[in-house]
Amino acid sequence: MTTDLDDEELLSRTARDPAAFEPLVVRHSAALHGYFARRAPHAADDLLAELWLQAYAARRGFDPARGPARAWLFGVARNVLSAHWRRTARQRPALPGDGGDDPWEAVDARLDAAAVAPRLRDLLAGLPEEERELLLLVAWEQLTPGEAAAVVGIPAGTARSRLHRARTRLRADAPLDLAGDPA
Amino acid sequence: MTERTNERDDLLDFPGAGELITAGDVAPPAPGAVAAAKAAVARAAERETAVVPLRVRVPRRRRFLVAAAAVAAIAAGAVAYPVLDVGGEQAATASAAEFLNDMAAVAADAPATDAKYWKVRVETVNGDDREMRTTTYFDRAGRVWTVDEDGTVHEPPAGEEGKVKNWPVGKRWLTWPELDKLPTDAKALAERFPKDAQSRFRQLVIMLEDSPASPELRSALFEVLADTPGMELAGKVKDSKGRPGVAIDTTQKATFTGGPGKDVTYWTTDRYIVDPDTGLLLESTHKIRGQDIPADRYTWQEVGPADQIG
Repeated sequence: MTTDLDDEELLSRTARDPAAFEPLVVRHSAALHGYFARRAPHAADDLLAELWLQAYAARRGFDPARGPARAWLFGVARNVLSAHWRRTARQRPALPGDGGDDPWEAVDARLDAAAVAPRLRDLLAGLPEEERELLLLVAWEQLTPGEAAAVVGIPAGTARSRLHRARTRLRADAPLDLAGDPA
Repeated sequence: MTERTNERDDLLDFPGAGELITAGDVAPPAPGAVAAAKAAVARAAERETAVVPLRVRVPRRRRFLVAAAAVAAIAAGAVAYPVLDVGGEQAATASAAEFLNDMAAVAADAPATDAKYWKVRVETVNGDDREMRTTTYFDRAGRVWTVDEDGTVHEPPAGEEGKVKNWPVGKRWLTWPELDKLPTDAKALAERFPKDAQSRFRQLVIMLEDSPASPELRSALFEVLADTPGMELAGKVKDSKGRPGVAIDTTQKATFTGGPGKDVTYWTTDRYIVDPDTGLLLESTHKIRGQDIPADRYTWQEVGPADQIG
């Protein structure tokens, strides 16, 4: 039974046995769909299908020595999302320098809708893009710092130090502003 | 697991972290979405086993023939200037280049305009917005008016904020008056665009899609495009509205990193359908290899001068 195998064994097997890919789709679709739903809510279903097609096409490139399959799949998802933002860039007003692929605008709209304190949103907006992304992968996708590092494509130690730096920034000034009244 | 939880808790120990985590709550995917993903993978697996030998063999032969044709054409002086091979990629096929050069001649014969506005009516279909029809007018200052289907006109914001319409050329974004100052000699114009074939191609088609480039500039844009690598003439087709045109395809390799040392590659095919009588772009589609339907489609229903809005 292929469903008894772990992700990495399944992915290794799919190079010769395409049917071994399906249990991966079943196992990880909810988490990966959530990743898209938080960052491109109207396109999540399509992006999920696109992600699995690309992951399937790229499956022979997966190397278990470099990290777990889950992190690899989120890495593919991240690139599918980037391509989506670039592709739809022309839908947005053509501003000089546009064409970036940071989904912060959509994420911030979600935070706004969830009534997250404006001060926290400002602090998050002020984080470097990579720190913010690592933080959200840990907070929302429940990845370990090591897995989040693999998704973003940086060494695990670097990701840890950036996450600690992000936490420090989010702690700075926060009691005063979030509590409203320090007294 | 404990280690995972502890480290996560430690990193998320800041005021408001709970709110942030809760804001990430989303509904699980509909069963249909997962089923569609499974079906797409199953189709890709079927296609892979069915068509791989054909796909490998045919392009190789065509690449060889195209290269030979291009070399022969240059040797015989049949092309005005050499077909570039930017970045070591395959040059545009001789037939694609010939068609695009024909379009350069057609575009040059179009009437010039001193109209106050430029009108663009486009139908877009993509995963984000589904199907959408947009009618916009812009003026020489870059102000953009949007007109709804019921005729309601949305004014642009006042001042500099409203001046947003421009086109990328190299590292700059040019306004309508700046387009009029671009050189209309193909070689000089090519210097303004990126050397990298994909970036150059992208900028050229953005301008051919909806810009108010003069007939001379438009003609030169087609000439530069004819010299840009990677295009193939697909032949006569009809666009999604049934309008006849000629299709040019470009297949590009896209690479992304799934982590350190995890570069993976996929292929996309963009199709541009040109009206051979006017040189106007009718439609562009973007497809990812392995998918049946385009990831997005732009159908240009009306692009041209207008004396008034609405």
